[in-house]
Amino acid sequence: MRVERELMRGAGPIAVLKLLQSREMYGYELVDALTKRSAGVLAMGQSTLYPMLYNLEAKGLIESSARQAPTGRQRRYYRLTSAGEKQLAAQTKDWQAVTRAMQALGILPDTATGSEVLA
Amino acid sequence: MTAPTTSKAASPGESLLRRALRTPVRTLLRGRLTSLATADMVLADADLPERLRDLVHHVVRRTRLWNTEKIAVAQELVAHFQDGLSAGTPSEDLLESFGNLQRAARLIRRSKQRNRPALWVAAHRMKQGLGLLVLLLMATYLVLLVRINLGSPTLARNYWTELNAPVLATPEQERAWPLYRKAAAALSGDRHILHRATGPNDEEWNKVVAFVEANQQATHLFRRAAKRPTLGYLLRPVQVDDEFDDADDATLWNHLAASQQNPPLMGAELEHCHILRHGAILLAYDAHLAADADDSQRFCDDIQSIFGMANHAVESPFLVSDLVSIALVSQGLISLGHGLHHKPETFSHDQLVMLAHALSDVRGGGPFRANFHGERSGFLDLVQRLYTDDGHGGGVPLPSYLSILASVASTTGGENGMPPIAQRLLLPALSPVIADRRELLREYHHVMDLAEQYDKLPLWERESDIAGGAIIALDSSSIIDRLRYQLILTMVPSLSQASFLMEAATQERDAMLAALALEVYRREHNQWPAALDALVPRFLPSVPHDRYDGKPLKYCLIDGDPVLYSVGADRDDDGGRLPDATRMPSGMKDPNRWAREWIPPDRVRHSKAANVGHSTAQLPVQVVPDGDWILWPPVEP
Repeated sequence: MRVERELMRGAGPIAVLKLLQSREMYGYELVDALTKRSAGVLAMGQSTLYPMLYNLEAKGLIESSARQAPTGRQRRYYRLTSAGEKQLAAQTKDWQAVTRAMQALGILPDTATGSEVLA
Repeated sequence: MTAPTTSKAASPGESLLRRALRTPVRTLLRGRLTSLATADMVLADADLPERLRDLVHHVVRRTRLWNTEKIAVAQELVAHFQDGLSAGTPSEDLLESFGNLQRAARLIRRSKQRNRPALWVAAHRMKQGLGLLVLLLMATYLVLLVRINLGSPTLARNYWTELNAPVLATPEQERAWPLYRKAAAALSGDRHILHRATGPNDEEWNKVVAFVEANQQATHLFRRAAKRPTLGYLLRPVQVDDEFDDADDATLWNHLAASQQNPPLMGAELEHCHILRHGAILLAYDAHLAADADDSQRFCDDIQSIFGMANHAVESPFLVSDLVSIALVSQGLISLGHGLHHKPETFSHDQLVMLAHALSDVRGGGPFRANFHGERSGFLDLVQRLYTDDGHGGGVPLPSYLSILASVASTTGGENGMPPIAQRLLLPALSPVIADRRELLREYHHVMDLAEQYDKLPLWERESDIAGGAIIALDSSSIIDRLRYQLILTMVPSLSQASFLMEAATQERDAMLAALALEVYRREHNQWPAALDALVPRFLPSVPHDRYDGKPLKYCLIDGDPVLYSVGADRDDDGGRLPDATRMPSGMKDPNRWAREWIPPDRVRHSKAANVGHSTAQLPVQVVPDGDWILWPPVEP
């Protein structure tokens, strides 16, 4: 399942920031991680990922450097900046609020009560 | 971890010249020929299947980024695909998961540009803003272009009909104009001699005398015409159909009215102005000859006729005709002054009284005032031709707006080289700046109302030129405001100067009435009075004002002869002394004319103070004539 473009526009950047929180990653690695860890929901092609990375970089939320990998391949690695950390924290709160609102509306299951999503 | 790579790399196989041309200047200055790597070179070195290589090539090319940016993108995409292939992903899957090629190129371009230096981003934003602005302006221009070029004038009023109505209501036998035309047609010889000659001392004086004597029939006709109650001049366009070139006014007017023609009022033929001028000068010279010949009756007839012609000229509502009327009054006063000064004994008591009455009745008596009615009509007529009319006072300028300004510019020394198509294309660009119909008329009436208020004031109460000031304020404001009200600036004449000429002529007339009264007094008392009060009320209803200070006209006896004078421009009583001719500004020849120059009181105060080093006001300093304006006896220039 793939989400709508508008939803991806909101969810994609925070997902990328979250992945980069633990360590620096290169492009393919990010695509692979997003696809696997979101069970394909947040899978994105290069046409979406790289513009997103460049935008995050322009905003100062991530930074990059080109290096030769141990395999000898030329790669660009991305890592979170302190501004990116703050942004991630802020957006995480927002998403948690949205999630609670969705749960309250019955759109998402309430993990506390175990109630099911409304049919 | 390895060191970061540079985006610039030597390019094997390139010629020295090509490498030199492609090497950055900074590197060249270091004495190295590195050439400049390209995205294609990155791709050529990449170990990728052909289809993936093509995809990266197309995406990178479509980004239209800087070369270094393209290289970085190419390297990143190549690495991505290589990583995918290494992970065992088939190239078809990689191709499929890439996404839309054009969209990718567009998004990459935008996001990469956001990473450029702040200065570039600012310049880019400005360029985008300017582009948007240009688009908006073009759209506005096109809307205005259509609106203006589809508009048409609404000739709601026919000013010809309105202005000619009083004339048409006058019985034909009371109209002087047909006789004036006959008189003008009867003139023979070189009539320009009348304007060239300056007086009896002129070397062409004999020609003047010959011309006057040869044109007694015309002189007689002018006198007859001047006696008629009204001028009866029907306004007619300068350009009419050929068949009406020689038609009389009534025939032409009937034709225009029948065909419902409504040509621009600005093109009105004011033929009466120059015919009246010719006639008045002819009569003035005739009066001169009559005085020399002691023919007082002929002299009086000529003077009365000149005043009658001045009364006729003022009937036409246009300012130019009004000014001609004032010029005729002055002409009559000069001639009367000449006769009264040089041949006073020629005139009988009754003739002096009759001349005084004729003079006091000129232009209806009282202070002379300018008539701006025709000016307003002319302007309103122009506006109804140059603007659309929404029926509620609003409207936008039409292409003819610029043609009028251009044609006026051409008549005032400019060049009317703007073709109609250029006017049609240019006007929409200017129209947002040009005042719309309502605003233009509001400003115009404001200026004209001020001019009329100013005109009603006697000269001594005119502290500053409010109407002229309003025009000057428009003219000296920003270029936008000048463009906004250019029609007013172009079409409105110097109204305050016209008002001044009215007051100056009033002063000359009042002084001449006093001079006539003095002569009558002298005949009764065998001496001149000690003061002008002695003339009131038997010889003069009241002592006239000095128009410059509002006090009684100045009078004194110098060498036993009476002198009438005004304090003149400096507002100081100098005892009837003319200003020093050697201090006159260049271009002026007559100190007595200089003495009456109109200089607003604030300017006089400032200039006087500046001369003794006491003024700091930001006003121009000018030489104020230190002397009086001599009104009697006549002063030869």
